[in-house]
Amino acid sequence: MFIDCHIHIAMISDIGWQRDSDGPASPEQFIEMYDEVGIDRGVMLPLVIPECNFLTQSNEDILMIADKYPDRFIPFCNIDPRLMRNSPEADLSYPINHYKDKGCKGIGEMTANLWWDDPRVTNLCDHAEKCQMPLLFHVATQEGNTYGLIDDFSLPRFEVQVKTHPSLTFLAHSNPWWSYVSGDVTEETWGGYPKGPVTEGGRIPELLHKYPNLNGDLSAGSGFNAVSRDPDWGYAFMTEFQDQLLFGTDVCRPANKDNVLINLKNFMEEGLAAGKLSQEVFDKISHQNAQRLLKLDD
Amino acid sequence: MFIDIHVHTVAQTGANRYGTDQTYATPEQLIEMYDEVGIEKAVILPGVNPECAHRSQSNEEAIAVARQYPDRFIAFCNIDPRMVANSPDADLGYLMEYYKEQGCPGIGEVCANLYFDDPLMDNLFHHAERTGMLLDFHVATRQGNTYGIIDDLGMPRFEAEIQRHPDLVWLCHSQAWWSHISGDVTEETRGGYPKGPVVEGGRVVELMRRYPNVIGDLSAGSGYNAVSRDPEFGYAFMAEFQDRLCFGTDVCAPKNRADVLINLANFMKQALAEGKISQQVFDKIARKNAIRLLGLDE
Repeated sequence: MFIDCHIHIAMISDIGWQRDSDGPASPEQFIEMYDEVGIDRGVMLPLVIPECNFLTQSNEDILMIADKYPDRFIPFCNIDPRLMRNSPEADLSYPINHYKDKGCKGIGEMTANLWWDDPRVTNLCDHAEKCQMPLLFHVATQEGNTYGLIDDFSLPRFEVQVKTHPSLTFLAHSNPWWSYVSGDVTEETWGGYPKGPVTEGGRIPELLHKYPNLNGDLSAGSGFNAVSRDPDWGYAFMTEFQDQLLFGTDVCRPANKDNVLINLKNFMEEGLAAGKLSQEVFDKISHQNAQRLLKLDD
Repeated sequence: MFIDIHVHTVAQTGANRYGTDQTYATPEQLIEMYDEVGIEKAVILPGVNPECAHRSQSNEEAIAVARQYPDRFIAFCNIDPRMVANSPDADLGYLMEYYKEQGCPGIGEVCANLYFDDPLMDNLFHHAERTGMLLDFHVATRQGNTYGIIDDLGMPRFEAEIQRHPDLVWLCHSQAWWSHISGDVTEETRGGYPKGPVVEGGRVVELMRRYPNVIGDLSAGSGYNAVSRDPEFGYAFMAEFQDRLCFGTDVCAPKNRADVLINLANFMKQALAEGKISQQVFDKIARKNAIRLLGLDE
């Protein structure tokens, strides 16, 4: 069984991610892709934050899909830290609890291009923690010309938020996060997909050890790259952090059926077949951690 | 009859507006209210920018309402300047072209809390001008803890953008715009609803005289206050700018039937009855200017 912790989906797909390109896959296209490769359910992350969007989606749009296909899709809401008057004092628990009551299991993908220690981001973390809603996020290496919560090299600002929000479940995603599996990441490589052997001293193992509320969302090219660039290291990493990693794809469009839809899944199945991953580790990462962290049985 | 240049509505009601016991008005509630007071049609402004709402709305929701009630609603789209790539070079034009094809004649209400001369904002203006889309906007007096495009006292940054974009049609709205109708506006009063006689030298009058592409959106308490605080001035102002003022309400919830739904309509009807404004001026502001600007059939 696989639960995909990270997808983008839309009922209206006739506007492209860029000019002359295709848009997000529809629920029906997802179901077809999922059935072909054997993915049971997907977590829908609404396209609400302007910085990474071409489509203006609402949380309500996502809830409509969840209502229509409750066995296949799990809704997250997305709460922009600037929502409700653009203030660090905004009562974000109000919309968060509204969407929690409607069945949303978390918040994200958080892609606002604000610094990790911006008071509005701290406010969002405060309210997400208070409402017990996991937060899935994308990291940015700079302000402007990109999306995601911004940090300096080595993620010091992020660590402060993890440390000061011990009851908030963080779901970490994106290139500038996963590049830190290796100790040799540099200012030049941390926003990309560094290849080759993983060296000791990566910030990710360090942070995952230190903070049990921190989890890795293995979706997208970045998550797959982190565990597959040095396969033996990757399987050992998955074993060590078997309770803190989640399978995901980050499928954004139908064309992703040839890459992120299958890459990590194949890697995990090969690891299982070759005895490099135990059945227990495989099951936890493929679906059990998602079931537990997102409280899917509640 | 009136055409309302500025309204917000939700088909998917979501949570109540924060601190109130009402959601935004539904299309059906608006139609009932409009029928009571003689408003034939209205422009829906989607709540896309995070800074001014407790929930994010999609353009598609507004377009669906306009398609359901084509005789009563026209949908604007809303394009956040941070969309696509959070970059001053972002190709926002393809989104505008798409929504124009979907029947949207304009963009707004732009509420992003960025400076008028922020390169992201200038890029939005550039693409709106190039694609021939009207732009309805809210002005903010500061960065943070509010929403709207930021300017200083006297609106110098806005004026520079008008000069840079001579073919963009600006639909000007909000307290921080309309307070400048009077020459005695101050840093303290510009964000509110200053009362009493209008003093010569107001920037609204100056900018409207200087730039034919500057249009006044008379909706909300701010537009009503601007023309009613000193009624004789208001009648003369409406006569002078009879081709560049549009009736509007800014109804946000059913309870607005007791205030913004009727205030300006009553003021205009009374002025007409008392011979303070001509039938021609009344007709232009009530509906004909909107018909011309929006490209509607008579």
